[in-house]
Amino acid sequence: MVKLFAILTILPVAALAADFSLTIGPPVAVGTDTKVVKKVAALFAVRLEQCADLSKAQVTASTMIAGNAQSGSVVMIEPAGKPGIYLASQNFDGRGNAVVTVTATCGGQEAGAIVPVVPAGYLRDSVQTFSRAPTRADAQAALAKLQGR
Amino acid sequence: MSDELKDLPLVKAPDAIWARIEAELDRPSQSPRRFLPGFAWACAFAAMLIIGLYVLYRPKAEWDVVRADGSKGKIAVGDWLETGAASKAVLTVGDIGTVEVHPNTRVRLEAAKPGEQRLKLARGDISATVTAPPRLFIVDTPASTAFDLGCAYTMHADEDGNGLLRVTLGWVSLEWAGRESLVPAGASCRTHAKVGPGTPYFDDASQALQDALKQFDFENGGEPALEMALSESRVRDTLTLWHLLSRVAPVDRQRVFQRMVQLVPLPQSVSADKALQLDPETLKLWREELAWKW
Repeated sequence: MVKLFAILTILPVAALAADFSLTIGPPVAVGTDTKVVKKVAALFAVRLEQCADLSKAQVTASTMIAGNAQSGSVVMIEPAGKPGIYLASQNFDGRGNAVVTVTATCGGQEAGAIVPVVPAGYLRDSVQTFSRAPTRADAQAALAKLQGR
Repeated sequence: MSDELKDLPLVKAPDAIWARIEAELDRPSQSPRRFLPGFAWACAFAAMLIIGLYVLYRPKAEWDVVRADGSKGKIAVGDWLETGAASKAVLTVGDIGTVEVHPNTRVRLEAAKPGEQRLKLARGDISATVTAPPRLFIVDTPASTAFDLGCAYTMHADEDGNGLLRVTLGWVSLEWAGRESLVPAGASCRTHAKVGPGTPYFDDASQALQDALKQFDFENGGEPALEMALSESRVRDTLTLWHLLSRVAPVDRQRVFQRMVQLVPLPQSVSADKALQLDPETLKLWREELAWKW
């Protein structure tokens, strides 16, 4: 009985949390008529899905670079001029492989993505999305997989 | 005093006095006459000074040129620049970017003003890298006009006016005689002297698809070429199909539409009917959704 009650209580919350998600796409997805400052080093675009109040949404990114102690905020995430759409651009030299961890919040909900990046750009087929904030372990596993390609 | 005045006899004034008074009244005032010429001269001098300073110090309608041997120069509006088989040059486009002019290329500067930086590519190859608001940097070729909506691209034009645009960053809009091709980073688009811009395709599209588009756009490939393009398309090639939707004959439009939604389900925000009617707003909305898959 207690289990049933717990399930009935948790399920709707879980379902609600699953609604908020991220879509990762190429930089050109920000559109042709958006007067954003153009990013020569633009990596990918991020779109917040199912976020009821975009004014309270927050998006952050951190980077883990293969074979390099440098990590942290070497990828910038900035609004792309349209509601809920952001553009990620890189500050690192772009010569090595890296994984970018994107974390977003919308109200009390969280979503995330891990985006593998190689010198030629981001790997769309290897992008992972989460209905939670990705952990450091998620990023390390993605980087290891990227190095083993 | 008033009584004494009453006692004075009234005497009629001589007619000459009235004539002189009227003459004085008719004569224009002297003092403004003396002031205005001096003021007018000062104004004229100030205006001439301002015009002279503007002519001397106005922003020049020209771009800086650096040739491969390191020599520097300028190219003014209306000037041609031509490179030989072993030479090239780099043009500085105001403060918004650069254009590399490759060997055997002939270009002319068409406009160099804050709202429009424009180059004509008569033949040869250029590489442009621009960081500016959309539609500020423009390149004319014999078969298209390229409006920069993004960052970087290369462009080729041959003697016959045929060419190829390859975009490496951002977007470029190729326009000619009412025909428009939107080309994103990673994609290319051929141009033809008699047709204008062809259908854009991603550079990693199959050779069969690229060949089919060439036949469809410029060689009257018709049904077989369209069939090949549809069958060779991947999810990413919805860029190509999106352009084909409005370029095929009405009888073929449904087939292109079906292939597109087979590859990427139609977004809820896009009306199938309006898309098939080629409603511009609907097509734009659909393209913006599809771009997340490109």
